[in-house]
Amino acid sequence: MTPTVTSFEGALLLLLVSFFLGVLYSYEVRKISARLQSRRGPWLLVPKSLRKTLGTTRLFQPLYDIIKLLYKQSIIPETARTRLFKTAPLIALTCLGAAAILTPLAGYSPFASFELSLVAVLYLLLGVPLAFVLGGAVSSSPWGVVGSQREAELVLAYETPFVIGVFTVAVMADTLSIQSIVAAQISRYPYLLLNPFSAAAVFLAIVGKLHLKPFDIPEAEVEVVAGPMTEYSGRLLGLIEIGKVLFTSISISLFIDLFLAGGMIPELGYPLVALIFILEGFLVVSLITLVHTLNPRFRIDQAFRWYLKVPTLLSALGLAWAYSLRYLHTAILWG
Amino acid sequence: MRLSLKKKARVYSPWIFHAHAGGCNNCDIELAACFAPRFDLERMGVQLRNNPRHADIFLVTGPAPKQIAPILKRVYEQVPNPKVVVACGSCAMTGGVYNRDDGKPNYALGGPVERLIPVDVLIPGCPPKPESIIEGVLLALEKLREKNS
Amino acid sequence: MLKPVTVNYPAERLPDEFTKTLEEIRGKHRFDEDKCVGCGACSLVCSSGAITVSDSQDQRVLKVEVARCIFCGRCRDICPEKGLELTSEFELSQTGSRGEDCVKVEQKISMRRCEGCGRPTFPTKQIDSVKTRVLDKIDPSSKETASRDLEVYVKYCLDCRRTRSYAFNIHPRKSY
Repeated sequence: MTPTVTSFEGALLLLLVSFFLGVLYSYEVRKISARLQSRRGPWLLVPKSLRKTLGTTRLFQPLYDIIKLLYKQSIIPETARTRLFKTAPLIALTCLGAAAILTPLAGYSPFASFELSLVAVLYLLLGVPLAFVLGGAVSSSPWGVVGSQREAELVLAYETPFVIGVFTVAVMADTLSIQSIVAAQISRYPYLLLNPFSAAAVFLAIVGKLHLKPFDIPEAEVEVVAGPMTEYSGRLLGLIEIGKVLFTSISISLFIDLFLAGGMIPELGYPLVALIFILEGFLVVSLITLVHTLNPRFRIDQAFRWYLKVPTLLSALGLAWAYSLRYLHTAILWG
Repeated sequence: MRLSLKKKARVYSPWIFHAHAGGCNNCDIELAACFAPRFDLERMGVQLRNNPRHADIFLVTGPAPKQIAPILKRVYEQVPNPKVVVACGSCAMTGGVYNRDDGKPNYALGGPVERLIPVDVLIPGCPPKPESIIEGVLLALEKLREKNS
Repeated sequence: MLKPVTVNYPAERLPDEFTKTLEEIRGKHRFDEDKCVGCGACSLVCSSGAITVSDSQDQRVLKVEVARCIFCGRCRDICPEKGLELTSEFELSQTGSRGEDCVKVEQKISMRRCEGCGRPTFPTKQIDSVKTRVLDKIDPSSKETASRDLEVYVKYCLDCRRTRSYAFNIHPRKSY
């Protein structure tokens, strides 16, 4: 049951493509939320008179943010624990790198299909809030401490519907390997149609994971200055931003793999499958942005209570539905 | 003129920290109008952050009274290099109306901003229109391109 | 999507419905070369002390420091000759590190000199303006006396007038 890597170059390529897609998704969030507020957002095409000084397009604006931060001076507070302070973003990046390699993208994965890859990805994705909580707690500032408390509480809130929803999909496919789940959907129907309740629960949990409104509580600008990331600046902040971009990409890829058959419609050749994967990614991101733009921010206790009401109810309903499909209407799932 | 990736990224993504050094708030309202739908500074990738450690451009409004002078210096030191200081409005540039008849600052002022921290871009106006502020930010981008650190 | 209302500044300017507002904006000052007489009323009434008057031997220089100006418009309102106007030029940002480096607007007027001591007294144009404003409008019975006295007045500065007041004999109610 040990995972076997079929190609290391493929893993590296997958990591880069994942990062690149995450950059595009972050740009899309900013652009669509700007358009919904009747303003322009970062330019897709810079006006002609400004092209010399300001470039031709700002499609890779999040990438420019990251590169600028990587070249800036890093100021570390005197009373912070320096080693833990510098290690926290690296923990997040390591977990995310491993999770990015494990999540298949448009049907390609450098690992041969192995059982428990879904569990591995879930555990690795938990490393990111852990790193945030750690980074906020050791930066000796009250904003960091309050922000990390809120991050911990939010993780407890959104993990419940997320895990139940994801394991519902495993129940329906009778396997815990993501590649086998995708294969099971290809032969029958995508699980978005078979079990929309779980899809809704996982969608709402992803909105919380990505720190988008109404759940951007740990990084609330007006309340805690930047939450756990208040004391980070320069290179370390750049690493955190890389982590955020990768986190977006992995969450969306996971959603598409589990509920939309990984973009793989049978009978279609490979380039079209990749295109469909990316289009489905943009569609899911646009729905997430709709929720993000049209909502105010919850309080942390409101978010906690809400997550244990509606999404947990939806995921429990989805689980019951999955079991009824499995034992009462077996023909729909397999057969 | 081909820019290296480092300078290109600095020009394409400036983050502004707005330091309010005790004024009538008019310049701050015009700055907020710069991020409203009519004049949108986010088109150029500018973000308004409220954390000096995340910022490139340090935009000061208001004459700096004596009480805020040490705080302004301390916050200026918390902005990582390379940084550009923009003095927005006539109060930040020269003290504005808060001067005596002979041109010196009055009893309450810790000085115009140039007496406390080195200034790079000046934006006159009382308050400067959002277009002036956008023009000032574009000049600040040019200054940022020349800094080498 | 909703249509954005953003104006792509600086590639575009505000649309036409804002033309009237843009014309009424108070921006950089402009002295009218012919109309300004150099009286200095704008400097007296300036809210922030941005307009300074400095006299040298033959010239009076009115200097407006745009850096200190708050664009209230009192200087424009009080100018008796309507020689100062606030144009609608508001794009005045510049790089620099001191407030004094900012743009300034100047106006130079030629001055008369005192024939007694040689110090500068009044701008020549102001004297002509006083003649047209005051002398043409006063009671014709006293017009001659007033214009004769004015010719003597303008030749000397205040201190020289004081020392020569007995010799001039220009007080209208004195009868000797």
